[in-house]
Amino acid sequence: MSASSMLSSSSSSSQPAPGSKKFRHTFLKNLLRGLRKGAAAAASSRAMTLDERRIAVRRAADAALATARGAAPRWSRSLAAELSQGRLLRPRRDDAQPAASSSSGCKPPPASKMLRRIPRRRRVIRARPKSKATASDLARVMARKRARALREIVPGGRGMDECTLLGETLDYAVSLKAQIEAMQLLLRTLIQAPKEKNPST
Amino acid sequence: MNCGPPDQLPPASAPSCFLNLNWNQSMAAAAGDHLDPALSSMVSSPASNSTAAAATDGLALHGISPQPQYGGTPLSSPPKLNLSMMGQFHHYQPPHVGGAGPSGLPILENLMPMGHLDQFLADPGFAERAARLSGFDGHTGGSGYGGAVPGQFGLPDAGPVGALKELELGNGRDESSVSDPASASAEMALKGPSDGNAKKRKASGKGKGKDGPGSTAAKDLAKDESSGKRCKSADESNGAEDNSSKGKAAQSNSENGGKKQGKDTSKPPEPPKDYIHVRARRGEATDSHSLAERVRREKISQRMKLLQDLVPGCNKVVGKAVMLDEIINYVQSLQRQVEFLSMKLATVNPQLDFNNLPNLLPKDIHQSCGPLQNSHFPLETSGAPLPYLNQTHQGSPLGCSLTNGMDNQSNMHPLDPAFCRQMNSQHPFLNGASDAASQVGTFWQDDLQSVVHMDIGQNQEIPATSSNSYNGSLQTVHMKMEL
Repeated sequence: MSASSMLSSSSSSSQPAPGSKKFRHTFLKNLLRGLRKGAAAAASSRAMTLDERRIAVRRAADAALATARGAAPRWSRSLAAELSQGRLLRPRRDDAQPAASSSSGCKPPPASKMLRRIPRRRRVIRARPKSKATASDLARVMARKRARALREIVPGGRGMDECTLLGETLDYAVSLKAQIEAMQLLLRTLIQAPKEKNPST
Repeated sequence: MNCGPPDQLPPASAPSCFLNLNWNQSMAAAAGDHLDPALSSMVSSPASNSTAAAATDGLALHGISPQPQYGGTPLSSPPKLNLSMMGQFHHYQPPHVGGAGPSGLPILENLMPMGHLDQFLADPGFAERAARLSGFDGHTGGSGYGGAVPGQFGLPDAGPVGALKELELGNGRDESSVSDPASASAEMALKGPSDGNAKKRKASGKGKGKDGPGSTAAKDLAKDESSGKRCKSADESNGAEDNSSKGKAAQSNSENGGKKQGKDTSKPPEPPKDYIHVRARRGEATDSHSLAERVRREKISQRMKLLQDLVPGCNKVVGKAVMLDEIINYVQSLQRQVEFLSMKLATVNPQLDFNNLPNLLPKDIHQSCGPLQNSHFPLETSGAPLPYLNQTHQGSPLGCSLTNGMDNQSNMHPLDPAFCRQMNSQHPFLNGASDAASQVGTFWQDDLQSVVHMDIGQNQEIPATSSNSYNGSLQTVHMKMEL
């Protein structure tokens, strides 16, 4: 299963807007299809580790999302590209990130984490004389940091200017929300079934 | 921002609020024929002192909003921005639509390739967002959107463009058609001094002008359509957001009005030839760099507003950095949720075989409204009033998933407070509206059923017994729905 091929082949992929029912529908379809393919591909003896299965499911979900969204937004295209490349980077970044900016209240931690992770750019900026740290300067610097963080979160954010980045973030967030809802629904379905079969509970 | 959400302003007033009402008297008189009386009073005020104008600005912004008098019927038209706006502008200025068509095209082509965003309108919460997102995608040349869009938007764009030109010219000849920007600018040059502040047209402002009736239409549609939870919450959040941003718009307009009133000297209008037409405000540098910068900044602020609508809890914060922080956290939490859900899916289904899905479909559908609240901000997000019908079912999967999650990864920790919150939040919702639940239940029922039907079609290895049980359980689901 290659995400890019799915992206190009599925005809309905470019239609639904991420906020619509149809999008969730399409996503569910794609997800089930992808999961079945993944299950078939991974021989039952192999992907038995929980982690491996989780990664497979995650990959299938992302591929389904990118396919359902279509090729219109940039994040969708780059997500599909990432997936087809083997996607070694994505999970690592997710692990590294959450501790950094999980707390919404405090601002210094994200800055320091980013400082560590992007030493090159940081040093360049620090070289500027910080004689007058006016409020506007600070605001600008802080906004830059956040924009950088956002770039790393949204797939394909590297090549975007701030304006398109915000637009892509919007679309990405909505699509993620739809993805989550669909997956939750699927989970409910899967979980309720055994309970129904065992009337003892 | 110029004029926050000109959502419910009539088409002519949207460009007016963008131009900040520096129209001369003759324009006001001319426009007054077409305009709402409140609007014309607003229009005639620029000659008076700045504060009065600003006050009427703010007042009129609020006052006009409930009265979209133009083309009332198109508001009930199908959810397409094009049609509703075309209807409105046809009503308002018929001669201009055709005339300004060709000029409208090149101007707005770069900024409004939003053809695919029409589908956003299916979700009413996004109706106004889609309208505001200019140049969202497609102008990067992605998959044929660029070609389709100018065709769609060429003519409707002519509406606000025509309106703008009409109002700026300030001639006594209201109905004269302006064929191209060159002639328009010639007119403006002639009437330079009487033009008040001669400003170039701003494309994004046109976008906003177009957004005004478009989003009004969309908002009305939003009330008509029944799309469940997203509709409700989006409307509420939009309503709250609009109120707050109307206040902001009034403030910003008063500030701008203060800047712009006063002397009546006009800057020589440069012929708006090319794509992005930006109007240089009074007291600001008019070189291309700052103008482009300003366009960019306004685009960014537009999108920040849309993001504010989306991210829960962002309405209170003011400031770009804090909002970006919130947005980052939100997207990260969404991603973590996806991660977590995929973990859950992996645990639930050890062999990763999803071929037996139709067996498992049954009674859970009416409980499917539950998981829709499984988000990071359960109290604030869309459809929050949806109850958890079975708390026990809810608790146990979460419980087992938590234990599953804990021993695996450290990134589950940030989720813990979220899940504690969710567990706690289930209780208040238990007594929630069951009708809402059933509503969404049907909504999801259709979804999952159709999906599963499709799967059944594709997947021919379903044993007969399981399909029988499937049908039987579907009936039970229907019965439960009617409770």
